Amino acid sequence: MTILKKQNVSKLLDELRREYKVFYPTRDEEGVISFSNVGDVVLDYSNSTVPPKDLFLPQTETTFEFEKGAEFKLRPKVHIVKRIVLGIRPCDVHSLILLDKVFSGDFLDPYYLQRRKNTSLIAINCTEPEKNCFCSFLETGPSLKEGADIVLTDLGDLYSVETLTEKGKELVDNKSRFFEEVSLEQEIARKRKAEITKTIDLKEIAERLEKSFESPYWDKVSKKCLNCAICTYLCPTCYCFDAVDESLDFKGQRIRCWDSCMFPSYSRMAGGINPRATKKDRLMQRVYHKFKYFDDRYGNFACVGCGRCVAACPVNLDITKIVSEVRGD
Amino acid sequence: MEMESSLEIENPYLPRLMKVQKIRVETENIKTFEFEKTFGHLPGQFVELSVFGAGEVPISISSAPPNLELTVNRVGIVTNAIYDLEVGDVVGIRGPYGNGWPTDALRGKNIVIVGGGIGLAPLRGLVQMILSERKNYEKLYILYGARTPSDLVFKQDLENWSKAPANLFVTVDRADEHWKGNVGVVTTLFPKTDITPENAIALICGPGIMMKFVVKSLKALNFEDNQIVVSMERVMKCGIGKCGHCNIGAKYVCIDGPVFNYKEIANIPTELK
Repeated sequence: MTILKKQNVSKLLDELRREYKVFYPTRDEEGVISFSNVGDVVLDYSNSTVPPKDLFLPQTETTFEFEKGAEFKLRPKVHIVKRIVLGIRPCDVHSLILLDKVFSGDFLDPYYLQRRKNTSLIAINCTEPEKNCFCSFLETGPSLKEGADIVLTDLGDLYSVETLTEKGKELVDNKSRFFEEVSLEQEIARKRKAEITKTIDLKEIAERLEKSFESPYWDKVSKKCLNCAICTYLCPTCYCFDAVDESLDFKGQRIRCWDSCMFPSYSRMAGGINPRATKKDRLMQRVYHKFKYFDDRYGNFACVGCGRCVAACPVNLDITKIVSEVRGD
Repeated sequence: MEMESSLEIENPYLPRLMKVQKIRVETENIKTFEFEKTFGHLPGQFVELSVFGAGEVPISISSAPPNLELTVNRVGIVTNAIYDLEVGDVVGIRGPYGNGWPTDALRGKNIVIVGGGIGLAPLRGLVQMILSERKNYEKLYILYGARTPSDLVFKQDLENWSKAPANLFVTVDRADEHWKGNVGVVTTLFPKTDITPENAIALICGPGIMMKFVVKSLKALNFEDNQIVVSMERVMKCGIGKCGHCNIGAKYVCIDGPVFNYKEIANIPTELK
């Protein structure tokens, strides 16, 4: 079995940085963990506070620049730097598999897909999930079987190394001096079993939601929602975006930025009519989209069980509770 | 930093640059803009129209191919910028997008077209197409309502259609001193017609509330859900099924619509809002 000693991680990082822009988890002074390409690498974490989706769908990005004048010019800004994301968790890897479905299809999104193509993923399996993690119910973790190029498993002072793609194998081969071979028994003996304690009842959820459009349950459960959108911003599978122009005189740019179905402006048409005028409508949209509409369209729930929306909600709205409770009566 | 080759894919977000060729004033707030005839489209499809610096909005195509005409009501930031365009100005156009009206299914049918306000825009290309190959269709009814006489769009077309082999009925919610026609919401026109559901298809576009009542009137005439076709409006930021905004249940108005068989969306509570 291939292993990577933890003491070699920063040396490997330095080596990788010569060829790639490398992103990894970092912790700021307030303890917030997010992915960055500067600062010290943090590997003793359950999951990042902020998911790494912004490395593929940035919170804001310029899609093209325009220049008016005698000759009108449009210049697209597609990102083409080779990158590695180290330390991404299985749930977040699965979120990218879901986003791939959105950004491919009949129309290909070059901004997202270019970043995906040029980025290798080195995931780390979860051995110490947080109390809000429920990935096992969505089959997106705590261990990863697909979606990353390399998967590491924490075995104390070392990681076991598994390559899932040709690209991952090449990466390990090219940096072979950082990796070692040990016997399989040693690895198994040290492997810890991840304990997921939170639960979600997904049984017949499509049917239960179908029957619940008019249920008073939604009035009750949406009452305390603030429509603050933190659930959607921190959700690794939420992908909705807005597009706006910024310009000064003859030059400008079109910018796309995250949007959220929690905001009234998300669905309000220019004439003033809003098909989702109340916060109940908007909370329902979030739950239905994640556990019915996305499944109808793409064949998966748009949830990977990372628990961030549960952990961050200021009024303790818990989507696992809603999904488990909702009934057609 | 090593660069990797870029994906060889077309960028669907990059508009093509087109010049405004003609402008026709429809009402105080609505204008029709004509562009060069380089676009293949189906009646009922839409484009994403950019005024660079102001932004981009989805606008339905109001003409039959090969003409490309866009009829725009100034209601927001971008549509106000469009309203202020002059002949020769450069805009960005992406598309055509969406499915368009089910034109093949209309052959040999009695056709009932119901428009409300600027909702007549996506229906106009369909009427033009039907009139240009009139023998392929049976009876044609056009029911059109606007708030006031000065809110009626396509006045020249209405004039022409009144002389064409079609049954045109026009009404306004509130008359002025010059108006001699029907007064009342568009559903008050149904009793004035001999519309029956037999071999018929109804195609509707207008404000959600208007469509809701038109559907009700049609059902009172014993139309089945699958004989009713609607064109929907929603907020859109991409037009290609990515940005998330325009969903009605699991459907996206941009790529699954904007035209829906009423049956497809009848059971979704937010449908006709």
